[in-house]
Amino acid sequence: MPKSKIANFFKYTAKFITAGIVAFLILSVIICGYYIMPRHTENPNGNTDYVWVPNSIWVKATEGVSYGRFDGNGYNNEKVIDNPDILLVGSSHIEATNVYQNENAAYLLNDMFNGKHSVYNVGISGHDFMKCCQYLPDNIALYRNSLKYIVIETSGLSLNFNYANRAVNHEIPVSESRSGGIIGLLQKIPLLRAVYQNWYPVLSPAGSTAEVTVDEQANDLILNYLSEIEKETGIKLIIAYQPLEYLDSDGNIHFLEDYIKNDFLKKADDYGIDIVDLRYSFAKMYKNDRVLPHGFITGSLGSGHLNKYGHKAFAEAVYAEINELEGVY
Amino acid sequence: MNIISLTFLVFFAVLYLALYILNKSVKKDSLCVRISNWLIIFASFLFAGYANVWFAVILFALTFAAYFFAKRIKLWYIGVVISVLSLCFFKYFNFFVNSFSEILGKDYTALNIILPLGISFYTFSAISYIVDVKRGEVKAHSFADVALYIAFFPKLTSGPIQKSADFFGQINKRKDIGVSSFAPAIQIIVFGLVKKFVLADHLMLFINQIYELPKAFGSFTLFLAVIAYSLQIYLDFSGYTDIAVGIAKMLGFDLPRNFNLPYLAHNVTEFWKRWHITLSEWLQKYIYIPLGGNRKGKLRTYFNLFATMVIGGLWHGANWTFVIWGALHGLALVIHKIWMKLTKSPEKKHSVIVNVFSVLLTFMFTSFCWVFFRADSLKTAIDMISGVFAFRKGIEQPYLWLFVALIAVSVATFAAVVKSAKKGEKIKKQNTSFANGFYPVLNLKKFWNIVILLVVSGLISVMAFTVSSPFIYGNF
Repeated sequence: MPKSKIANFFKYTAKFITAGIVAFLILSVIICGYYIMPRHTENPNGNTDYVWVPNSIWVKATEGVSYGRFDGNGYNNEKVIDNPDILLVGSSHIEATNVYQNENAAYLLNDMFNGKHSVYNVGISGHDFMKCCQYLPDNIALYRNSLKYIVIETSGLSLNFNYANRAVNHEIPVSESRSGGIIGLLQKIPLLRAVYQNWYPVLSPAGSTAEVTVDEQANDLILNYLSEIEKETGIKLIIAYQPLEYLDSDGNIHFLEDYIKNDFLKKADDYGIDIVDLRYSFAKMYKNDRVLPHGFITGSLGSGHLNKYGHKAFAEAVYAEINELEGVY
Repeated sequence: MNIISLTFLVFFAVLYLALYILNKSVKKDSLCVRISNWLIIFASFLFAGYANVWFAVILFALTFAAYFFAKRIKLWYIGVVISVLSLCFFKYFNFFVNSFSEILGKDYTALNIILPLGISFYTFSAISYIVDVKRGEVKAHSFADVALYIAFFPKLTSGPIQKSADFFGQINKRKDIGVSSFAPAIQIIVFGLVKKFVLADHLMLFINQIYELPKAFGSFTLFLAVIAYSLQIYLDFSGYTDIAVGIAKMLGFDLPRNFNLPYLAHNVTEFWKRWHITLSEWLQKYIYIPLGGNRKGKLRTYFNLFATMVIGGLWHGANWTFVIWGALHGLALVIHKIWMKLTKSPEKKHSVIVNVFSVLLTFMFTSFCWVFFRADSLKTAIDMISGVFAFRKGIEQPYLWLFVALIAVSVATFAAVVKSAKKGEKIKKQNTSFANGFYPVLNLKKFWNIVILLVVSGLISVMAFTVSSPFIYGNF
């Protein structure tokens, strides 16, 4: 190959690499308006598997359009509340990075109680009902001095005995935050995180959904566990059940897991555990305003996370329940 | 084989590398061309038979039939009948037998007939080759040439349906496989990927939900879904065509464009000169004209137009919804022809307002026709259309990606209009648009052009809808 051709090849390669770096920088700027999520980091308080990097910001236009800042503990609150009397625990639904901070249930509850109660949200993604139950003693230990209520958000009540047994014995393993090493470093680059987030469903396809069954043994085990906690601590536990909805061909609303929920509800009553059943709120909201509690303008309705209407219904239902418990009408 | 898959990427990379090495190492043009063509033929049959070996066998049989009967031109009609019957059997047998059974009130259990990959498109290529030979427009070619024309894998699944003369004109030329063809080709492919994965597939999510449950949604949202589908089908199909054009270009072949800013059409006649252009031309050449075209009086012309569009509709799929879609377009073409005669509109120059109104009216007409095209059943189509005009309450859902797609299409259209104006393009007829679409091919020797290409590619990786979704025309 002639020397000039080799020189041209290296010259073009250098130009291409430089262009790649410039394109990367431009994309990083563009991505700031589309998807920025900080990384999970270890939780020094041990009341959830992990927290978000304290005081970090997020921007999301992938599922809903929102932005906000996590508090000093790495949860989605306007500010840290050291002595809350109502604690919200739950999954990514209640973590609520898909809605603006002033639209999430914790914010709305604080607004509704207007100083009478202080509500603190420690909901975080990847924490299902069992994991939330497992962490109840840790949360109580952390906020024992002030807590009156713990609201446990869940969208699923199809329990499995083995899993429930591990939860009550604090044996469900901690999901690592992977905030260190090369993975942690890569997570700090917003563009790479956005690419990963977009291709995650392809790289790690969801496994087949487990068969939905009623496990009465598991129901007894977990409700007994919750009941014991209530008795020991005097803190009122409220399960806020917000099932996913679907519409039939005539546009009528229905909910998943209905029969499971009915069984759980009956048992919870026997054990004296309070349940806020959001089926009724959601159905009423749909009937009156034709809005659904899940889904966003960026995707399908009736699937995904709680939207601002869902959070509002959630907050109103929990507010009504606590008022009822306190005899306020 | 899906052209958007890792399997295809590996398949294409191996083929491209082989052709590249061949091109660099074999000096004699005729030998290089012959080996290259056979390699592509082999790859095309592999492509067709990857999912089911019978697909390749059927493709081979129809290719051979086209070659054989074009050579024995007195028997040309047998070749055409074989192609038509094959298409009818694989695509319409269950549909017609089921429809007759319903009329006769009898039960019918559908046969388990799998539609061979791309049969709708390659049977049309086969017919066009035989008829063109019969008409003396092309000479009868060797089996290798015919196989390459009919089975050429970039256009196998969803076209474009290239004219035989255009394709044969390229077959025996030595191809330039290297940077000069790769650079524009990759840009056209990226352009197609943006249309398909960033825009069309996001729209699909919204549209699917609304077409599944039209009764749940309010009139405004149903209207948005009607508009959204117009954009989705355009972006999806033209995206596929861009990818096919790009792939063919890498192999040294030029495929025709299928779309030319269709939603800038002033009337439905112009729409069909801008939408799925290769199908429109095929229908005109091989159905409308043989039926008599406009040579047998007014009434017959109207009938021929209508019949051609009904056949065109049915070609898209074995469902009455496609027949109605075709019939609506046929009717509109007839009405437009009568309108032109009555008002002498082709001879008049209209104001900007009239032109804008024409474009909007044509867009709305084609959009509402797409409802029949998209709906699984007539009932769904009627629910959708009646829902829009019922002005009823229901879920009202603005959808972010619809507005993104609208902006993207508007900006691209505006750019095409400006570029056409700068080039001094003139209208060919009154009441038509002067603008022509173009591929935004940049000179990749320039630094900032490389940056632009990489930024767009990066945006695809971040914003692509990654849940697998087939091309709409892949189903036909």
